[in-house]
Amino acid sequence: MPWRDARELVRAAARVGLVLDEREAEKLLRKWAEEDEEARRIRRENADWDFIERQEERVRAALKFLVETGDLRTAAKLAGVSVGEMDRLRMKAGIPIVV
Amino acid sequence: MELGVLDTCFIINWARFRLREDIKRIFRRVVLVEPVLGEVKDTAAITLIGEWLAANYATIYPLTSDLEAHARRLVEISITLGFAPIIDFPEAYALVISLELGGVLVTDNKAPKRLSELVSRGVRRLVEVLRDFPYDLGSSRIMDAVDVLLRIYGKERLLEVADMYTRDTGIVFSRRRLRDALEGRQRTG
Repeated sequence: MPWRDARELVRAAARVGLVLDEREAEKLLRKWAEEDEEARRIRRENADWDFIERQEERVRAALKFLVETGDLRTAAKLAGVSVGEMDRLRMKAGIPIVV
Repeated sequence: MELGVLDTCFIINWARFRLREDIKRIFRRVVLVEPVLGEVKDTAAITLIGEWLAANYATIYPLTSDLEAHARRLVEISITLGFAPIIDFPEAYALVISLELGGVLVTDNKAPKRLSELVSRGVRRLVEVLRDFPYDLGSSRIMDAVDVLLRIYGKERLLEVADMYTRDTGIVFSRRRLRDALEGRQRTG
């Protein structure tokens, strides 16, 4: 979660002209943090860490980033491959996309 | 039936699903925006898109300068708000096209749903953020794979087809997401 707390999200929102209710922001942040934590745990538990460690440095870094964040597009950019190729690497590495 | 605007990750995985043609039960037509099409290199997805284009079930929506500007604004907003992951340009463009056409964005990425949630639930007042943005982001309709499976197969078969989908695609559904869907708390566009 990129925001430390609801106040930080409220401040970020204010920069683009959105006025947020801090209590609503807090609720959303809590919900999103729980979702992210569960997804991260599932990815960590399912990942084939031996496969990941055997990859060349750039791909290894991208796969580890993917385990932590689930962000396939940025992982593809890190690895220097297409989104489709990154998705194939993801499957070989046993990293699930968590919905 | 509705119009589905498909994002990259969704179409790549949906193309691997053995019951992929069943999507026609909920979308009368699907749209792939040009930036999304440019990201798809996967053979199964390209084959499926080719078949759907040939059958006139899929359409490609080109880049146009005014809609591209709206999508770039969305990307900027997600960066300024500190979203991680940010909304990337291809999915931002797909979201804009879904709003433009009155369709449903189908994506497994969380950022578009969260931005919509933020605007619809968290905002007390809009000042200037969307001054030049002609759509109501808070009412955008966004579905993920759970929503699609639920809409096609209903609650009765959701767990069965979710398991099948996981085996075919490597997508895993969180227990919370499935429970919410079964209890009717999912957002279905």
